[in-house]
Amino acid sequence: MPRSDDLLFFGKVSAQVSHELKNILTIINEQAGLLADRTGRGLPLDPERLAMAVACLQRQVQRGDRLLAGFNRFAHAADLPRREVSLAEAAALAATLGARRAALARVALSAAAGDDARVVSDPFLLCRLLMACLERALDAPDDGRAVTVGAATGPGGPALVLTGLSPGAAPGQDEAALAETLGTRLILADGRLAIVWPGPA
Amino acid sequence: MGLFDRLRPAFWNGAVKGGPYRSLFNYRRLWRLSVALLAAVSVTPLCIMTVIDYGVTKRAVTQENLHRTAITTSNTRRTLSYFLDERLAALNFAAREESYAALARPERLAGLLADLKAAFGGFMDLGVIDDAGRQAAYVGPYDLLGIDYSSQEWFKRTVESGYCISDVFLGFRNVPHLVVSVRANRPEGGFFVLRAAVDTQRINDILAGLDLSGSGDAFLVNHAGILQTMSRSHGSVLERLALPVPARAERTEVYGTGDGENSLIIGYAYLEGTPLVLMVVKRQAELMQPWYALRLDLVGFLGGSVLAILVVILGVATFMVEKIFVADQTRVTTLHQMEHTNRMASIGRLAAGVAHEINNPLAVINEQAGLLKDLAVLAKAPPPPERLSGIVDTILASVERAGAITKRLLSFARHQDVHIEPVNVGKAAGEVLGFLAKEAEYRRIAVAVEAPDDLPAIESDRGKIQQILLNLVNNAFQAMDDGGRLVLRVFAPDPDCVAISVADNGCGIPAADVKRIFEPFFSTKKKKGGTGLGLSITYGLVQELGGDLAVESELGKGSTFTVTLPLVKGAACEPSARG
Amino acid sequence: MNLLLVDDEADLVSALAERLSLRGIEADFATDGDAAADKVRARAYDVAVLDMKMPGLSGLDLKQKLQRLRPGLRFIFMTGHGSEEDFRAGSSEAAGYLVKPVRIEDLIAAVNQALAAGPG
Repeated sequence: MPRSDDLLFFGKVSAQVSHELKNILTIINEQAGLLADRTGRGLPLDPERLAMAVACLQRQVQRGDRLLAGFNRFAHAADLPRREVSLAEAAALAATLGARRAALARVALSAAAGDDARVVSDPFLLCRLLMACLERALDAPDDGRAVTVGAATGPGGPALVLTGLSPGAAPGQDEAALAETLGTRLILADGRLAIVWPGPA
Repeated sequence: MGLFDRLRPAFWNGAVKGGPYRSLFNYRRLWRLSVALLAAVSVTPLCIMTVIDYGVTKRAVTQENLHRTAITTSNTRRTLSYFLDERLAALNFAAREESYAALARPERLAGLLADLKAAFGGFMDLGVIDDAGRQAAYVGPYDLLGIDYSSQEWFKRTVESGYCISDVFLGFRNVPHLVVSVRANRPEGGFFVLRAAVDTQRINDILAGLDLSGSGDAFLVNHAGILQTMSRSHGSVLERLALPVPARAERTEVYGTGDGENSLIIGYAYLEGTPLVLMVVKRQAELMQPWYALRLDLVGFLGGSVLAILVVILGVATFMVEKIFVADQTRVTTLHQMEHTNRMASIGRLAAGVAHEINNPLAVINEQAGLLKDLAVLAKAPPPPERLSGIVDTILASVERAGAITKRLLSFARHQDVHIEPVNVGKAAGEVLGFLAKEAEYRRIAVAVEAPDDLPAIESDRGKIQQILLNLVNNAFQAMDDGGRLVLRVFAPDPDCVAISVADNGCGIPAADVKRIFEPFFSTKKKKGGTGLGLSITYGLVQELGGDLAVESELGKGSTFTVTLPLVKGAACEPSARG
Repeated sequence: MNLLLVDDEADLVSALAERLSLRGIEADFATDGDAAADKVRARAYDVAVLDMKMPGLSGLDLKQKLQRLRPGLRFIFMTGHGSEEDFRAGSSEAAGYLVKPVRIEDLIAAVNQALAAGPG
């Protein structure tokens, strides 16, 4: 499994983030531009319209803030090749990074609440695997069109679980290779895809 | 072919990973050298010893053969001499004991012969010859009475010397025989000769009784080379011997003659007091039989040993070089992994830096929008249009700012995959500096770029070039205190290259360390942390691009790192020292 | 209540100051360390809100500088994404930091908390 693909993945996520940022900025631009036009032409500015505009601006700012927070966490995943990783945090990050793609696919993506599980692993590679699995899920969701990603502690050991997959969705070569490098197993059953770490011996 | 392929070890085809710059050894050469050296050192002494042993053993065997022949010849000479001397002594005794008159009587002579035969044996006949040479009495199987022997050589010698042992001759009886004779003086004057023919069968028995190996031959010849006894393969009695008569010697002598298949070892001894020469002739080839067997064993052993040694050397050398190869490859792989981790971490930091940067314009937009709302809601009067315009303009300006940063993030994202394309080095340098602009501003580091527009683009990997520049500029930042100055210069030292120099006025590198600065894990940074790999990784990246990285530094003044890259990978480039 | 806001982004800090004053909280602002020091010498502020990263001066260094000038001053830090770890690693402050872009309500709550906690 060529690690040069790490760079491609990084590029891909960076590109996605920048595209979404561009969208956010465009919206802000539009709203502000509209206000500028109205005041520029001396048109009256009723409080309701102003409030709506401001609300929109603040909404976009929050959206951007969340996106940047997620991107920042993603960027720091590459700092160390091995450390203790909180699977709940990894799931939350995946949900953030995948939000845009989920929205485009019209699938409701959310991080599942639940107990945390911790493993010692390569956080960047883990993110890569999780995002690859998430993509599979988003490409082929079940009828409910709702995918969750969360941490779990199964009988086999700590795991990351994605729910909401259709029967046709299955992990491919890349995911299998990544899972192997991380020392995990991929288990697909009943619309659930789990990335499982070996439990205590 | 298939077997050879399977036998061929992994290192034969050279290091696969890391390219030509990364491997520590030329494995084929190492292997060949090891095998050659070890083989030479082990096989040479063995061969020398074998050759010496061969020579020594051969000589020993040969000497042994000669020695044995000498002993055999010596012993046989003694035996024959004693035999003949004993016969002579018997006759002498008889001649003294009896008077001529008694001996001349046939009955007495017959009685004497019978006594001699009984007591000594080896006598065939007996005759008394008077001083005129006439046989006066004779007893024996031939009719020889009255024959005149005065002209015979043996008679003359007997008269002269007092005794004679003759060689074998036909004589009057026409049968090959050998005589011993003594002269006895008569009291009344004159003399007589007592003569006996020796039973040559006894001599033959002695000769035949010798234990000569194989076709060994022992016989007597006279001084003229006429055979006196039967020989196995060198002729019959009274025939001339084919071999040359050996030179007279007092003692037993042994010598070799002939060559190849027909070489012979000849031992001989002159029987004193007789005209006889004992010769013992052995064939070299037969004598050397044991030697040949030994020789075969020796050579076989040498061959086997050499083969075993070579097999072991080949096996061990292959095993060891393989182990070194594997260890080296592991090292290269590990280095690669660390480099990758390093690269990912630095990219991560860049990205985080970008995220951090966009924060500010967003925060501005947030406050301004909030202010807008507050003015509309909390203020006593609606805000004047100019105020509104001002706020909105500020928001728009921030959007533009954020947009520029976002664009930078996008371009950064796009350049992450590895492929060769035309790269404008000046632009790449500018992009890298763009990422670090915030930090430069924060630490009040002045950054200057000198990059003429007319420099050619190089065919290379943009991502790697950015990584290299990023590492060098980061290093420069770390070397400088706040308020320092960084100068980035892009230039063409010769028509086939483009060079970038990164010059800082930081702490510099001590002269003793400059040579080692690119070594992995070597670090002059006082701060803890950091892998010490940064410059070695950068150096490796530059090498991968076919370029060169050089440093000039003065402690306390600053350092200048110069990267020289060829326009096309593989083109020769004169590395430039001065940036 | 007297607030001092310090951030190198003028557009940000001026708007924030104005918004606070619209809510009845007096707030002055400065865009660099020297101006902030001058202001602290001239006036007794209750709380200073500092940006973590400004050209030439880190928030923590500025805090030390201002604390020497006015020992009773309380501090709140503002940081952007990516600096949180640096902050948490480098500072012994248990509370008192906000991540930009801040919600004004959060800022006011933090200020009140700082005042209730007592002198810094």
